[in-house]
Amino acid sequence: MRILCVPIAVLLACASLPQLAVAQWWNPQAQWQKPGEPAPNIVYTGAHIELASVAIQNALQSADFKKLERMHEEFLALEQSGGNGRHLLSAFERAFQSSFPRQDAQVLKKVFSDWNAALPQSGLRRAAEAWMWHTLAWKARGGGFASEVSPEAFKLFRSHLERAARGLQESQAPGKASPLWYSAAIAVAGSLGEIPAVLDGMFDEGAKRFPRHLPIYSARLNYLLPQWGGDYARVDDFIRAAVRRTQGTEGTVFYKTLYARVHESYHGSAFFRETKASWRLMKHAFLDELAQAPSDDTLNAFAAMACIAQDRETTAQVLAELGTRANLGAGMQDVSTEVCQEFAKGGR
Amino acid sequence: MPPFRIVLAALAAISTCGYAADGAPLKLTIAIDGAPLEVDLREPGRPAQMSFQARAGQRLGLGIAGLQLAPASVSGVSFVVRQPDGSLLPRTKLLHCLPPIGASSQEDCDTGFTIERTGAHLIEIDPPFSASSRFTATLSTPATRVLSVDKAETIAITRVGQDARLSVDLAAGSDLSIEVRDVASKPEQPFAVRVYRPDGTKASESVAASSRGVSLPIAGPAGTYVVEVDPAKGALGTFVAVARAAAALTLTTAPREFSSSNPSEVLGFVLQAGAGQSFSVAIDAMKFTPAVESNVVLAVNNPDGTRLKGLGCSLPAKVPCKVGIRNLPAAGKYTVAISSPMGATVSGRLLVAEEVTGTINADAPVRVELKRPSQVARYTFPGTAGDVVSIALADVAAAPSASVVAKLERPEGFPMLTQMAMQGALKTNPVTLPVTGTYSILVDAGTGMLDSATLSITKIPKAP
Repeated sequence: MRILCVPIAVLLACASLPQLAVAQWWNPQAQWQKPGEPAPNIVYTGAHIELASVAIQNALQSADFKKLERMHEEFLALEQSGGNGRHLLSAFERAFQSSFPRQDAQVLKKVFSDWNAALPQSGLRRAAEAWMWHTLAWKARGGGFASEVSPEAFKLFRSHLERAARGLQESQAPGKASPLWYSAAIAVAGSLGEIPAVLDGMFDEGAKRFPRHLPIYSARLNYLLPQWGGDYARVDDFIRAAVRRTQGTEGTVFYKTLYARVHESYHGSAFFRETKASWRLMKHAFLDELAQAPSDDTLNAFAAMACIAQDRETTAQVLAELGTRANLGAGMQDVSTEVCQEFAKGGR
Repeated sequence: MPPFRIVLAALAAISTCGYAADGAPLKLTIAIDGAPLEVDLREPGRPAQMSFQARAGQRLGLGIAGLQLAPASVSGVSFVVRQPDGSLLPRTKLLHCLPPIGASSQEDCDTGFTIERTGAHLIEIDPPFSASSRFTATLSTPATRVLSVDKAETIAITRVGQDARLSVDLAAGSDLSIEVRDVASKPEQPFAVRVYRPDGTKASESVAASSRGVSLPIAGPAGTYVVEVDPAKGALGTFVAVARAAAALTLTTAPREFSSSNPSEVLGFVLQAGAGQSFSVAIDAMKFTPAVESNVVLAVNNPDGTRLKGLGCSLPAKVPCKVGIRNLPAAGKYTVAISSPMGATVSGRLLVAEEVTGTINADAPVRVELKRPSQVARYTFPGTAGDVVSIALADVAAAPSASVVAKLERPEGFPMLTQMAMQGALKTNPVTLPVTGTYSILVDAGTGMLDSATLSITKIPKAP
């Protein structure tokens, strides 16, 4: 009997890269493995991606560029193998988006100058640098409506973005060997207000070469949202197409992952009514993810989304499975463990 | 009877596949113990339902075989069971079946449940929206058998998802053990074995695999107990079950000769022990017939069937076949199980002995005796972080074959050092105590006894 099927897909698929699949030299929290001991069976979850993101941020801070390049090379190999650990590469975008906004512009520029001096041919550096300029552009602009942005700030915004675009353009040959180039290119082009056809062209090329790289999808999805002139019908078309493109290795997991991004940008109180998101499909996607890589993070996100969807049965079931490990609503409005527990019991 | 096919829907145009998710469910009927139902969900994402009539108390197994998705996907198909009033069947978890991955994989998927209300039930099927799905569904009552003591029964699981339910009567004041062995399944899968009390509550659970059987206790109030045998992943196969009068042990039982009668047998002994007790269980004079290079597993299982402690013991033995149990969490009937080696029977002597305990202080030697084979003595002393001590064992009087060791344990129970007595004595190098707390010195003669020895601890003054 099995409740949620075991991650056989993941384990089998990683068999072709046994060394890489368990290589955790970059992870200070990894269990020490004695020489000759059998390699541990790791099922990579979001927690590992977060650990990798922290390792990347630390390597950037300590100017350990060789470590960054090696992590990138190994994570890219894992992604291309389609096996376990195939999502670790997205830790790079996570690290850039998390650390760049918090750092001083001059410090960041110095990091990239040093990186360039140390490894001038690095494609990773060019993609990361584009992310840096993208971040600096948005810091200059601020997050408000366009009408609230001063002309000076707008000028700086465009200038930084054009600098990012130029860098990407100049580094196409080495850069396009990494999906990070495409996610950066889409983010920069979208911020510059390029027409959908341009963004679609970049996305199609990137997704064709790197079909499992989630940040490429997230980047394109962003500019389909209503706040960027898109609409939820196009969002839904895009997400469904993304699932069809990736279901050979992901099942329908991208459905819930990409809709989670949509939810992050949604500020209303009727997500499943106002968007085209289907709770039934999202629930299915959560079950696919739990079958591939079970984790409390996924269970907590599952329970929180079930609660938002007002699915009492599922909320109660997943909360029961979580027990005292329930921790719902991290980063979400109006969702908490207590609120959802009350809802599951029949309240609210 | 060959499976009959129901083509559920006409081919839908690919362009509309993704949007059929909100379509009305396709309705099917599945018969309990009927022919396997071949389900062909050609319209991606369209849910389906299988209805069936069942009566309260009925135990059923749902098996899903040969799941295929097109285009290839690692998404799954979900199944939930709803009662006549539409509510979810309690105590039944959602089943999410994945298609087999890789050419060699033949895994199926299954779940078992007990009906609570008589009437029409539904199994809701939720396929992925991105692919069409095909599989065979089978709904089965369990294979049943009434077990008589000492009569081995061979039971076959012939339907995907089917379990076996074996009933056995327990008379007041007596204990039984149930042995499940000779598991043969295709594809090879372990079988879960669960014992249910007369009131339906689960008493114990363990897992039997083709290479190793299990022995679980049947102990408690008189009545009819049910042993459920549940092959993993819907596997088909056979197994042998036999109920035996439990060989009872206590911590004062004399060494007991044992022998298995066939190479897959699991010998089970029911050991009554109390909360807080510490003891050792060991095998000596172990012999494999024929003399194969293999091992036995000596296990002490909790009353609920979970493993408390276990050890693989091989021949020729490099270390004593002995497990130490410290400070039992609860009183109850524990099982000592000895699995036979691969391709041979095993015989030997089973030794059980409660720990000898005492306290010791620096420069106040104590006399140690281990009067029962495999017995261990534990002497505790208060230690302060930074203290330097040395342990000595002198005047060791034991059989020449006995190897006597002294071990120092930290307050948390972790070993710090072990030293063997040579020529009737041992003395450890000075050791610095890392934390303040109660330390233990264990004196252990393996599976032998210790007529006498003098244990002492010396506190070494710190350098000024």
